[in-house]
Amino acid sequence: MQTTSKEWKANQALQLTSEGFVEVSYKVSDPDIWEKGPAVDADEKLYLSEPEKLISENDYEITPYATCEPDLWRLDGSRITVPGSGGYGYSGYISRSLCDDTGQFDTPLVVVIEFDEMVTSMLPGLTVTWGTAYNEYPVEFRVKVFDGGSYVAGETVINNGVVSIVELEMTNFDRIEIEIVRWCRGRRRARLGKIFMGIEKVYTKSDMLKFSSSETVDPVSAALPKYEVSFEIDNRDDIFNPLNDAGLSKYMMERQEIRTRYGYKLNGLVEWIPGGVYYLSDWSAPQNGLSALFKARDLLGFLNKTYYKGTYEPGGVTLYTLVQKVLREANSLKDDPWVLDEEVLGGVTTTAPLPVSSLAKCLQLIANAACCVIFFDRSGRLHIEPPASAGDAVQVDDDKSYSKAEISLTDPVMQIDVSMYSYAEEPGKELYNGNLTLHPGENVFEIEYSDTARDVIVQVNAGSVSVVPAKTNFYAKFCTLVLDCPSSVTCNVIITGTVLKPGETILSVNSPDGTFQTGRQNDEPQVLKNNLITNEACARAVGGWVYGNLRNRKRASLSWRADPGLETLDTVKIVRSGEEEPIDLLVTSSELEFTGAFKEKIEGTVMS
Amino acid sequence: MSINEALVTIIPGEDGAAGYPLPEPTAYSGAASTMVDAGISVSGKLLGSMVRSDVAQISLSWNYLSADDWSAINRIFKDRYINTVRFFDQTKGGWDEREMYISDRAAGLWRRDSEGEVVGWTGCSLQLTEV
Repeated sequence: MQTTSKEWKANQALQLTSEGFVEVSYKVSDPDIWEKGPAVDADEKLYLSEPEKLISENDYEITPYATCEPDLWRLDGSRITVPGSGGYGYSGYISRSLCDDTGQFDTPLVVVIEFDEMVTSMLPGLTVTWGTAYNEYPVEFRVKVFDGGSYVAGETVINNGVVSIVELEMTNFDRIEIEIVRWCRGRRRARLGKIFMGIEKVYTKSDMLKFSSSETVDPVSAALPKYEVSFEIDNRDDIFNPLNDAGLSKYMMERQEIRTRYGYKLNGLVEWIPGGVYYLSDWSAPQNGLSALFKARDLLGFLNKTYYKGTYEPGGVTLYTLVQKVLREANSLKDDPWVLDEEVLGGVTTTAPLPVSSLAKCLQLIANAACCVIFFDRSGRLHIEPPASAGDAVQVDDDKSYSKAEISLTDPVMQIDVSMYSYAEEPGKELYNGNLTLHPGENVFEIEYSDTARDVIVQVNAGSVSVVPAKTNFYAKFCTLVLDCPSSVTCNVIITGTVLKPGETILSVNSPDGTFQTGRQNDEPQVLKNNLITNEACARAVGGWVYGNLRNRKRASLSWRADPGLETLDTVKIVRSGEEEPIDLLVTSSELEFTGAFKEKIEGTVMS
Repeated sequence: MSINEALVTIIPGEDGAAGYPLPEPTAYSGAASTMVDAGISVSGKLLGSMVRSDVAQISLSWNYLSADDWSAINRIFKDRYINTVRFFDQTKGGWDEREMYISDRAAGLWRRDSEGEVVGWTGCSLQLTEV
């Protein structure tokens, strides 16, 4: 449950709440721009400055230090003294030199963004956030875009705000310079807090014709969580029309970040809570329509890349190590936006290689084997951690719901049969035998074996061809083979190794503590197969955990005038007239709709 | 009492264009609506949220307008369904400017002169509602 004020909670208790709001922020940028190795540096930087963080995907909060400038040393507590011992808070870029009385700098201060590679995608401009903590900004600055030494595009901006959106079509460039010419106040340093490589569009409820979002989380990680948002934006100005050259359509691409937030007007001000972080997956602007439709979903929806680097670990490896490997492979996740329970994940070991599967599926298997839930919080961070104990439940009674709670029963689960995997070794087996055509120089091959294996050896039957050991990697089911040769040749490659034949032991569990109690009915055991379960302790823990969840057979759903602060895995206390005992519902899925009021259909497991 | 400002002025969007003060109406009424998105709860109570408050609507009527005056009013709205309107707002207790759309304009013919020209209209009425 999102943290909200007393006023918010009091508002939720009303039959008719105050005015509600939805806002969607859409970052029009290239989501892969980070792979081009952007780096920032600046002229004349003060010792507090950290210009290298200016284009981070993280939002750093500016520490409002009282640096040596007129009117910054007020005794109202709004400024912080710079610590003498270092360990400074984030300041972004602060210039060493001060402007003159009119705000003019002797020579323009230059902040440079350089890329390792040429940026060939098309960007609609830059968003520059200046000295937000001081409400200061340049009244004149220039943006120059270069391809090597050649000037590509540029814009001089006469500015009047702490956030500047510079609309400038940029493509085929590797350097951007921001020249700060004149500051809004005399005798001040220039301050820059953040640079976003693109522009951010904010759509309010006045711009939207429809808005809905949905969340589904599996409390036993038997499936991946799914978070989706869908909205329609007024497109009467044809801004999203693909045929409009001046529109945004040419800049739109998958995985562009979309953030939502929800609010209520309370005491004359709008109190906001985050709604979630999503990534654009689908959009359309019908030629005959007046609106453009957008759909976006969570990051796991884009982690479809196959992970094939699983290795057999006879001595065992912790799930914490495995999850880090997978997340590192998914290098679209920047700046560690995840929360892992190191103690729990580090306490479970497996000998099995991760199966050849999508990165998202690998994360789900790891979470399941560690008895953890996999979900996102509303700041977009991925969590893999044990289920939290129920906090304060939101109470929903007949006054707050549009329909009575519908109760249904799932099939009874009397027993869980957990598969526990082990591997029999058969050394000296052939895993691959094929002819490869090589060109002069290094040749890279991805080869899939016929079986899962360890201790793999490559034999190349051509004298002039050599294996490059530093670049060749062997995994349980694949290898990346790099061969070097002086001239074009066709060679025979034979790969042999110790084949790992999987065996399965079934462990039956019919108690939450992971044991098997004799004498209980066991007509249709539920089968639980997870390749990462390779020891009895893990099998009993997972079996008991899943059994404990599935024995709650009652499912409930209802529609209510939603508090948008409610999240999946929160508990709702459903109070029904005529019933003495309320129902505690663990919410596992929700569909939120904003039509002026927040209305939501929630479903979940009855815990009481 | 001196009246130096029209009760209702239609302000066109073009920069620099003068407003069109409407003739003093015979009757002027205002309404302020609160828009809600609400349904009925299981217990039969109103359940929902306020969507927007203080949505203004004004109604004007004239017992009699000459054919030229009524024609001039109608021509303002001929191609402009939504206009900025300066009017006396009952909630504010003063003049305010808001974007408003125009209702149907209705009037009854008074009479024609001996040459067959329409002299004027009776019961002319229109409504302006905030968008």
